Amino acid sequence: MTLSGALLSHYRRHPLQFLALLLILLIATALWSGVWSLSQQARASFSASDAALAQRHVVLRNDGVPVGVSDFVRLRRLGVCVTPQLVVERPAPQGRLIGIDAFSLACFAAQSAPNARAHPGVFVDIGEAEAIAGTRWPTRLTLFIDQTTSGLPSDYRIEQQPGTVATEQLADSFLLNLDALCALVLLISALLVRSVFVLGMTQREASLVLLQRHGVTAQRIRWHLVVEITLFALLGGGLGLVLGRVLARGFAAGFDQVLSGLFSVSLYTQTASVLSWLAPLLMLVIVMIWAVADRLFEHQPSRHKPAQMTAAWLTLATGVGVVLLLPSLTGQFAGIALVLAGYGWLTTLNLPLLLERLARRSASPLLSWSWSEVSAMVRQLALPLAALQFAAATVIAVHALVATFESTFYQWLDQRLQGDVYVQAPPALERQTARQRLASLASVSALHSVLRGRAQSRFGSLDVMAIESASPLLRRWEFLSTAVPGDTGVADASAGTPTDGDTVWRAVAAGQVLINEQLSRRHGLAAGNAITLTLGTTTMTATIAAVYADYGRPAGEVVIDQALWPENWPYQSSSFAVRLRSGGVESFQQQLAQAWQTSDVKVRDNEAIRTLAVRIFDQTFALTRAISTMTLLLAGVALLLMALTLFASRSWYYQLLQVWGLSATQVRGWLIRHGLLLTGAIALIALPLGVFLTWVLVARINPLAFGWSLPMATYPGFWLMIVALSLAVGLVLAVLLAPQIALSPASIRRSTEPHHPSGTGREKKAG
Amino acid sequence: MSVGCPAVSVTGLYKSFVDGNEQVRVLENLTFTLPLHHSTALVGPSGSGKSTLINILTGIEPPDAGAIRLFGETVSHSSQKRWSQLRGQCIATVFQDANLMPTLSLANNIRLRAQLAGTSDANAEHWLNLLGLDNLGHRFPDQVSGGQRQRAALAMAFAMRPALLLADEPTGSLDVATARQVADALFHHQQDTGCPMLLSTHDPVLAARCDTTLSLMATGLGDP
Repeated sequence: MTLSGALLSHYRRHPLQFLALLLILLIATALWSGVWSLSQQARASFSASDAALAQRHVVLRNDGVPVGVSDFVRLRRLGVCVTPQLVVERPAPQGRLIGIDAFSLACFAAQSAPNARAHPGVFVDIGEAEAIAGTRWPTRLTLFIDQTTSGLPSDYRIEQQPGTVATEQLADSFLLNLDALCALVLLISALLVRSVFVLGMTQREASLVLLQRHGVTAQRIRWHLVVEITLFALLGGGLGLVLGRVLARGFAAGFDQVLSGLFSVSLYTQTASVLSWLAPLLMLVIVMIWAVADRLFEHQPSRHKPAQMTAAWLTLATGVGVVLLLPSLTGQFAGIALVLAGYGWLTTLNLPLLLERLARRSASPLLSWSWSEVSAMVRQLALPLAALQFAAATVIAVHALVATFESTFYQWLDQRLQGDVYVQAPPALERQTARQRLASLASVSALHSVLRGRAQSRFGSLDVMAIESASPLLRRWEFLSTAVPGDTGVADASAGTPTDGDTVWRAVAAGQVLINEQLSRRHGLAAGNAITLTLGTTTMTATIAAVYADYGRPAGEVVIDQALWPENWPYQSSSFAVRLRSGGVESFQQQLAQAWQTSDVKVRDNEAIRTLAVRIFDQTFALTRAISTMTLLLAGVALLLMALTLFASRSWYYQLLQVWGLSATQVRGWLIRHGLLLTGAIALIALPLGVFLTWVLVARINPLAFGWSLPMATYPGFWLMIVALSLAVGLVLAVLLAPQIALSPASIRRSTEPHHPSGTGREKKAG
Repeated sequence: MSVGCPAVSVTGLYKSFVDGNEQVRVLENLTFTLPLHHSTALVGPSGSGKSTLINILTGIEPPDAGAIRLFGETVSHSSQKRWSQLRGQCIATVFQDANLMPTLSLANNIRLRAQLAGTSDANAEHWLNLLGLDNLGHRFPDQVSGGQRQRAALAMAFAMRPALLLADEPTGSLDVATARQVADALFHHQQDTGCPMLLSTHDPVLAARCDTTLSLMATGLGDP
């Protein structure tokens, strides 16, 4: 028998412990690496997208017909520097493919050309892309051009590539959220692995001392244990990685929709490199060794309770301070980590103390035993319980965020989508003519024209939306704050109290402007302030009449009345919101095509836009919800596994009660009460943490990440669900542990032998 | 339970276990009685079935065959509920170790045992003083010595005012001096209360202090 064999024999004796360790590692790695893999793919996709859109100007035909190969050939023959890009929209997991023409790229500056080599598998030759697409997948041809190019025929025009709003900040925030969830899963896994390993170390203490007495050095034992935990991490982690890839594939389609919807970026599926497998494994090994380092290297943490209590309070206070004072996303996440650590630490220190106090105050000795027994269980299961608490709090916070956002977003959509249909003005037709012809249609009851452009200001480039402030389609807008005299009052933007707005629209008609929440928060602008805008060659200064909510985009925006739009300033897009009197969308489209004398009329109906928007946001949060729910599942399963393993040292006391005359049913009843109390208490204690996390998400992280905040809302119904779920875990726990409390000759023999671990185990704990 | 009947009356008791593919007979046709007010030493080599017999007499393990009567009541085929009542109110059992709840103080252990036995007037301090554990009632089991723990276990057993005391090697893990203190406490209680006692032990000196001896051989034998 070698030293390794002697050490590993522990797991032959305790196979459940071995399985628990492997299962925790497997589930945790699968979850963590699955999300990590998706966020890595997303990062690559964003980077590829940035490269692909480096030249942000495209050639369009004035007659509205999409550009084709013939246009490319014609322009090249005229010596115009254009390059084609054929986008093949393949569904996930294959993802989007981009065909480019290396020869025509040569006329562009090298630095602005898409770097095909940097993204193998994403960019291919245009001919190859066309062949791959065939008739199976839709394609889209774009002709990129340098903005300064001259000699473009008059039937073409240059426009900025649509959808190139700077999304970097939003995308980074989105990915940072995913990374934070990954880190949470990793932290919970580390806690769980630590608790299993420390239990093993406690159980092996006598064997380790014996080995040292037989001449094996402490250092040699230590290195064997390092190898042991590394091997476990590699084994469980390796299997988990495979499962994680499968999970990532499962999520890819939904995630792709999120990226496309939010950022106009498709998810590119990457070929898994050796590094992409090794990096997470290495990370896992490091985290696992870190989690058990103090036990491996014999540094005993301070058992001095007052010192621990002070340290826990300090950790919590520092975390809260960081959240309140540091205005950066990284700071917020670091603050949350400290708050979680401090809160979890305080819970595991104080809950046993509270239970012991209850035990001391109980008049009934049996009740006193019951409280003290639960207290002992809390000490033993401190780490898995803390993990369950973190997971429950996260689920509560994520649910509150998603539910609040859902209701706020849907309300906002209702305000905004007042038209039945939306149409883009035809480029070939003069805008006013197009409007008049549209208004003259019998089926049109009301319409509202919108112009879009980009203005300059001292805050940089801003989106400008020009509206017809008298339009009935704007009546339902609500404002976060307003400074118009005679209005219903100024509401605090962060409080999100909407205010009525007829007087606001009158103010806009009189030359004041509106700004979105993003712009207000980013630059500290409030209703009543003045803002100076340069629209082409015209510079104007206007008072901000109100601040409005604008979800789902990061850019700052100013709304002006169309009367302020300078005549000589070209617009980027012109569209109409139309309320229909009668008839379907299809007949309206036919009438409009006739009126505008073009076949290229794109009509989007309200329901389609709403469905798309809802789908995008559903997908966005489906992933977050899924990860947080799976984290809760992981914590629940880990708690069950740990309790199954650890309960061996407590089961005798339930059996002793049977020796003393309680029936098996009565003792099972106590066990059920203990299971329910244990997980129920943890869920209740998790509630304040969940509320705090909700507040951090909506009031701190959202404004920093997306530029807008949400009203703080709580959902007691969901809290009840979480408490019920935790109680269910407690019940399952009791049911699983019940066989261990069956009184038997073997259990009496085992437990009444001298030096049995349970003999004087009042202070024994595993983590 | 009938007054005047022997405390325990066992007739033709059989018990065997399956060990791998082998059937091992531990107790075979065992017949004996424990008279009222007597102490009986249960002796025999390891594996002779001493602990098995105590388990059978407490209803934790059923016999394969045979009749058991406790104070005249036939309990061989009693329900688990009845056995729980007997263990709770009549039969006190003291093991070699782990007799106490580690999360309760010595005094609370005694109160708990008395509560389960339905003895409302349990004066934990009285029993602790009686066993020389004055002022240790607030201590937890891991804060006292092995001997003190075992005496606290006896205090618990005495506090329930048992009708029958079964002790399974109660001094087996103690040094000679402490073992003597514990044994003294047991015998004083037995003499004071007349509570019949079955004392399983390997110690011939301890066995010799009992009124009678029940000796088990490897295959299980009756009273010599």
